[in-house]
Amino acid sequence: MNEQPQDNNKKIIAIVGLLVIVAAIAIGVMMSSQKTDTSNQATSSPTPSISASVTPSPTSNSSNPSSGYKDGTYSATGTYQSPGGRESIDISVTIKDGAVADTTAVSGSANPTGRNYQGQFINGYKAQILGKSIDDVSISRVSGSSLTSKGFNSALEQIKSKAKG
Amino acid sequence: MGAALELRFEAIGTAWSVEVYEPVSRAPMSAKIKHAIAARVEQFDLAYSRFRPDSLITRLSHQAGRYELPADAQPLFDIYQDLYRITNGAVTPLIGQTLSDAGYDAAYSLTPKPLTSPPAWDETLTYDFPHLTLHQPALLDLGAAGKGYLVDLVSELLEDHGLTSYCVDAGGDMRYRRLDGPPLRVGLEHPADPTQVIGVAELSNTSLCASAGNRRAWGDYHHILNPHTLTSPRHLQAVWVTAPTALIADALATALFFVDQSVLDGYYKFESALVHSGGSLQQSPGFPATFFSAT
Repeated sequence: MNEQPQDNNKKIIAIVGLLVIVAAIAIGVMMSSQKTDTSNQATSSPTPSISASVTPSPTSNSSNPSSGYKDGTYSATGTYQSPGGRESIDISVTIKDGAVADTTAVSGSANPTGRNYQGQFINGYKAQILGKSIDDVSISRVSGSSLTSKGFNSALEQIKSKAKG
Repeated sequence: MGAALELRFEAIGTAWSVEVYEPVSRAPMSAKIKHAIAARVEQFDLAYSRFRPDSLITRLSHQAGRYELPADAQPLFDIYQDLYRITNGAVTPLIGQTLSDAGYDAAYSLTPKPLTSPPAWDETLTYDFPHLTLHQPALLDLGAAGKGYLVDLVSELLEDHGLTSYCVDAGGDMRYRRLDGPPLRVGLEHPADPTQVIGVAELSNTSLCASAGNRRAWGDYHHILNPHTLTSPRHLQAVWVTAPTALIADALATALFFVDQSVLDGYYKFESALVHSGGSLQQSPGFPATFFSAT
């Protein structure tokens, strides 16, 4: 197999680095727009000064012929300056069959404010929920709201049948 | 998971599962633990159920006065007192009559009557553990945190018997402790489809509680009522919280229907995941779960 790992890594670095920049800027915008005390901090808008480093950890050696990306998970840490100090956020990109299969962002912030803003970014960044059949997932129990009492459920059933009747 | 002791029963309106993962050597010991759990649950129900005519809560609803609370009441009443303040009265034990009028009553009539706002804490209650003084009779509802607290109490009972690896699960609200062993993989139920899960939480030595408006629901209402608007919140489909105790996890899963995570962050150590009405997911950075994504 004739691969060009150097070239592939550069492309991955570009993708992940871009995500880190987007994250830092988005968080910066949130912080600016939500700042309530403007009296003495009006000029100190957070500056996303990015420094990203990419750690590729490919899970297989096969690179996809169409894109040239090696399958695996690549992660980067972005740092930026906030009014509360230096903050970081970790972003990882999973490449599968030559395409981006998943992206995750994890807060590296130690202080509650930074965690909060990063959390807000991460929330918006992860999209809609997606369900999988319980039978297709390896779990030992379920948490939700379905296990209500027999009493409540039977009362509800009675009411429903009356309403139909 | 190879539980050495398994116990399933129905109590306080839900299905319970207690599993112990370490050898409970002798049969009499196992029987003793089962008996102790049953007695503990009954004791709790007799004190705090608003559905039982013989409970302390029912007595409080009939007559004003100064009452001595049970020895285990402090963590429960403390968290209600704190959350009442933090949420500006949105989380309140005084919601009992309003819930009952909405149809969530002892007979599960589920037939709403006109609702009135619950009375204010300061005008109704003076809480100074172990005493609770009611200036007027009031129907309390401890449903926002009671189930989680009983999960803690049953867990502590297991620990009192020298057991250190267990899962106490009350209808999906659970506390898991395991010194040596795998994390517990818990599916997070899809709020619109109980045959599906939207992600998997991995628990180690923590508690996980859920709150959702999709099941215990009738007419315009579900089991959470906003005391100010007298409506059930619809902006969230489901909330999960992990915290060191099930009491905190359970109480905050309700509180998050009223206030943002950032409001609670300064007071409690917890992680959360919320599903908004439109189906978008919001999770705190350390929530220990993997969610499925649409790719």
